[in-house]
Amino acid sequence: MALLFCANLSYGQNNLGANINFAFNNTEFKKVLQDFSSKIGLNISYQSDIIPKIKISGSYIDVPARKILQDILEERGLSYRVLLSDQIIVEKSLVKIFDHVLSGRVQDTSTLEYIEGALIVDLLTGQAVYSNEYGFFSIRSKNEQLKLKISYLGYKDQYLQVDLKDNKYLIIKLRTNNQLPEITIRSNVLGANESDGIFLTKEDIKAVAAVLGEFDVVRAVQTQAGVSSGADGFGGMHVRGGAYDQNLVLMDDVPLYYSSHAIGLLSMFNSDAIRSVKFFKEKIPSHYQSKLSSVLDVHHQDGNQSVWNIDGGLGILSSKLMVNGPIIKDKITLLVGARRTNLDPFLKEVTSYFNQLNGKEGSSKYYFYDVNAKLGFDIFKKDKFYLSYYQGKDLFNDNYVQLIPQNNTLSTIREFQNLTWNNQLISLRHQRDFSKKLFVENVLYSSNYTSKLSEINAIKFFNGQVVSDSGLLGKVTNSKITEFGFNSTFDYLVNKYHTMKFGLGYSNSQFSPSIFSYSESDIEIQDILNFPKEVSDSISKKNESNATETAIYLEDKIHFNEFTSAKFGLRSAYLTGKDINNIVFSPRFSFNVKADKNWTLSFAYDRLYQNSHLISTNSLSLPTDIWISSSKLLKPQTSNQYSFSIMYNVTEKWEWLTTFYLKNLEHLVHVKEGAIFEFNNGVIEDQFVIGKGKSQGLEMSLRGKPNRHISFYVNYAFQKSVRNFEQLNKGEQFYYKYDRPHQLKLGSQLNLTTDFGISYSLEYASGNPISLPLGQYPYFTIDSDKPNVNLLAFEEINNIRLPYILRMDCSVFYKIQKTWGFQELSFGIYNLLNRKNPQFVDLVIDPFNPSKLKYEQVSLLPILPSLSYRIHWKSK
Amino acid sequence: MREIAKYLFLLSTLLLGQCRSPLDIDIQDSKSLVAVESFINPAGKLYVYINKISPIGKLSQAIDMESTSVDLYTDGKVYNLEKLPYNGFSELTFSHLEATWTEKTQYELRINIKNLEPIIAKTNIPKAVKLDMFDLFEANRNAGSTQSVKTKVTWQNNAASSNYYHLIFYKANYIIGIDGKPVLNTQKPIEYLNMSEIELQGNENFINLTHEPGILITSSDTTINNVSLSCLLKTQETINNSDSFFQIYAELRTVSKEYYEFHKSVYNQLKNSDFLKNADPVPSYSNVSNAFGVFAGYSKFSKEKQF
Repeated sequence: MALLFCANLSYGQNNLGANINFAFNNTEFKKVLQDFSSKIGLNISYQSDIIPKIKISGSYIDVPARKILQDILEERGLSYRVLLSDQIIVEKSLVKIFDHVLSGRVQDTSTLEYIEGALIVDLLTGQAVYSNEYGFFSIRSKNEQLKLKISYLGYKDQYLQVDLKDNKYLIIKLRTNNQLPEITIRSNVLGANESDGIFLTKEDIKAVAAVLGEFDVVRAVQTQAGVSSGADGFGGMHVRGGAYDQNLVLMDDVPLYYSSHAIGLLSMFNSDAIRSVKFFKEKIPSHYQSKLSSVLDVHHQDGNQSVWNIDGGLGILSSKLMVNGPIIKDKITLLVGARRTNLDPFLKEVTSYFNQLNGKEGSSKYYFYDVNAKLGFDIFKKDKFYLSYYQGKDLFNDNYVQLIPQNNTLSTIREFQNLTWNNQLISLRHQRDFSKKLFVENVLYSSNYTSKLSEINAIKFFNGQVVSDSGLLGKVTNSKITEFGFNSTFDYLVNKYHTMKFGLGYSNSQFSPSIFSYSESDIEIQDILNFPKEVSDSISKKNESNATETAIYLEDKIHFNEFTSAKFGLRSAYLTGKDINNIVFSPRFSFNVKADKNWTLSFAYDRLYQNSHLISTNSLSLPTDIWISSSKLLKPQTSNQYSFSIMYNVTEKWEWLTTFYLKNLEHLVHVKEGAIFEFNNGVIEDQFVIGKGKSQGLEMSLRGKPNRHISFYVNYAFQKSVRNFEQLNKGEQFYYKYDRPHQLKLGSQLNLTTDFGISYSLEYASGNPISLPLGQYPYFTIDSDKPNVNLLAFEEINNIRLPYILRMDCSVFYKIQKTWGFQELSFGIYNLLNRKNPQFVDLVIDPFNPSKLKYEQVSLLPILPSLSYRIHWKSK
Repeated sequence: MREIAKYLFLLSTLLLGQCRSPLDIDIQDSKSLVAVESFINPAGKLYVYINKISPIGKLSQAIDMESTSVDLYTDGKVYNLEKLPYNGFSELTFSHLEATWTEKTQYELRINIKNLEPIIAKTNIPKAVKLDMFDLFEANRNAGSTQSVKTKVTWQNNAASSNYYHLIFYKANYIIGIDGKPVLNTQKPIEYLNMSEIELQGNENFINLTHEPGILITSSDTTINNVSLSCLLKTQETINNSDSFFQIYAELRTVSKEYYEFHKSVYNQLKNSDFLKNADPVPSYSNVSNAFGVFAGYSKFSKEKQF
């Protein structure tokens, strides 16, 4: 019996050992096994549920049958054993299929800058991943051989054959595509490990028409559906009807508290130095510090590792210069860029002239500047260090003296206004590739923001030789934030279906707000002419508060199969504020389903919190707004957002996205009605009331690239954003000041050649609501026997909607290529239609009826042509 | 060349400067069409001033005010107020010239205007708090300059009555008549005095009003009893000769919450008069249903000193 068994075993093995020819083409797996069984004369038994229902192809010539069987089965996670003389049992493999991992970085071949968002696809299996913000990627496969296609817009596609036996870590260098710049179309690639959010490149930013010759990141983000500025033409970013402070704005991983120059005409980001921009308004990753509306994550270039580059520009508003290159080639890089306004001397002349016409002496002044610097160390194989610095300042000053001769005396009026705001950011970043599957980034940072507004009015009036009135009234508004923090984030590729991100973060923010007024009486003329003198601020110390956040976070992306994927995130934080501490949990969840190759459905939920409040008493998001930390009375704001999206690939060149969302907000803060907004005496918190908010809407986007010359987008949003405070508006709900029911944005870029192109954009938006009095009525004071004061009758908050905004911008660029680089001339027109879009409303006396008032709308930005010149020089 | 450059940049400033145009929207009609102003106190007559709201940017709606009636309800009694002749300023003025009012918890004003919802407002007259001390010192009576004097007043907080006060200083002006005796200066019998360098002790908050003389005071801590205030009083009057002298009054009004909130909101509204540009608007407080305005009670206590 035993001999027979051995002989039988031997017979089965001999059959498997024989060399055979065996071929199959697009044949059912089950049929292949049947044919193979016939070929070798052995029965093959199996449980039908382990056999994959797929078609396979293969061709073997003079190959041992055993090898053929092994090949066919192993790839599908199966194995075999021989039983008796003619029986082969096929079963699930107990041996774990060994996964090969390829990781590496994607770089620009000429600058050696790491490229974020490059798409790496294994053409053999269809698996695809994106490179992260540091160019790092990791891809797993059961095959030893990979056939990769790497692509990124603006660059030529690259194809690579990789043998994972030799190459487990790869640096991929992409060459720029000399063809036409494109607007991004981020299509939904099958099985892609796509990042959520919106990616913008330099080309996307430059596709949006410039204002006064300056391209701008925030302006490009404002073209997205559901994102608006507070007032036409001005920056600020209001996402789905949210407030300005509800956006987390990051510059190289450091939070910015006020990110605009010139009260919103430009952001603080130098568009020449930008490497990548990511924007999230839902599915917000949990490794970001939490804010209620959005995250704008901007990274500057690291510096060219191979050659020196100089970029300069001259425009109507400002001039700029940027130098970047290798201090030691491929090892240490430096980037330094600066911008400054050109307008100073002219503004002074013009305002001085107008003042003189009105009998005043003095002028106005405005300037801004910013400086970016970055030092990169790539001297260790696995570790990279970057030291970044940013400094930006704006100053506005209005100063005049008016002398009024009266009966041999000289009465004096002096008015002085000085507004400055500064940002200073420092960060040290460290990146390390621990292994093919594990990447870490550590960031240590400091962010300082200050704003100060000083207003002084002084008078000295004479009645004959006697002083009839003399006094000085001053008001100072300060806001100061000092924050330092640390974040450590790990990227881990668990397997080809599963990636994780986890880490911890800490931030410590000190808020020092103050508003106070002061007065002097019986001042001398010399004092009027010689001020301003420094006034000590004893209030900010009183109102100082500290807020800390210690957080751990985890994100898990899972691709269940080629049709469904999900992302789970959790941010858990211990928050402290003024007399408050609590633990918050912020879960986020999203689920995607590919209904077929063109349709994708997505559902997301985000619970967000925010440990600070921005107190704004106007609709323009001015730098004079006050930041305060959460406290016992003013708890951290929270929101729950639900969104549902449908994406449809109309064709390969057109993509349609529709999103419905609903957001509920709690612990919102608003200034009390009749609050005395000065902190001389009381506690800040007494000036505010707490309430709720709700925002809901529909967003639709259509993007297309019909051919290589033209690209096009249309974004529409319908939105309703309301607030509810028991102590305001008689407890009734009112429209929030950033509510804009309809927003339509469309734009196109036409590139006739690589050197000549035109772009235009059109924006329509409903007017935002404001509070207008509906009438006035007289009031008798004690010291008068007739009405001497007119009071304004307000009924509701935000009862009137301003007229709609309509604006069209266009720009043309012409590039002259040179051996050393290029020169570029741009001509643009802002507000081509010259429509008087309302900025705010003023109450003035009706010239035809001086006893009555009337409304006038004030518009600030009419048609504005601009010309700018740019030069790029590259060393050999 | 310099001139050309200047005009080029003037042009650019014009382009960049503000453009003003009429506001092109249809502003809704106000729900409330009238405003009421009335303050009731034991020491004076009750006047009720009624005015139409004057719409901004559009024509007034027609209101038939001929048959308007005003009644005051208190202690189960009804006082019908009498319509006074048109005074040139107020659309309608009503008064009850005979009745006197006492410190009470509830007064209710009811106004009926044809085709409008009934207008109702309620208030109380708090019990008057007395000044314990009123001193004047360091007077500045130099000829040819503004006159000033320092003052100090104290009183006992009475939370049971009210926690709100309006403190006013004024002077009665006398001149020496032909017969050598002091007579009231009929051209300017009373002048309200400016208050500055105010120091208020006792955990109090104050507002130095700009639309009315005096300051509003409230205490956030009702357990604190003693209130002490010192300040500098100034007058525009200058000394021409030694014939005139001053008699200064300190008037402490103990006011109802409506009185305090109304004046505080008016102060804020006037202070934030450029609200449309860069601040949230401040509605003026109203305790009148179906109308704007105020009906508020107060009582007062005065002390005088001469210098």
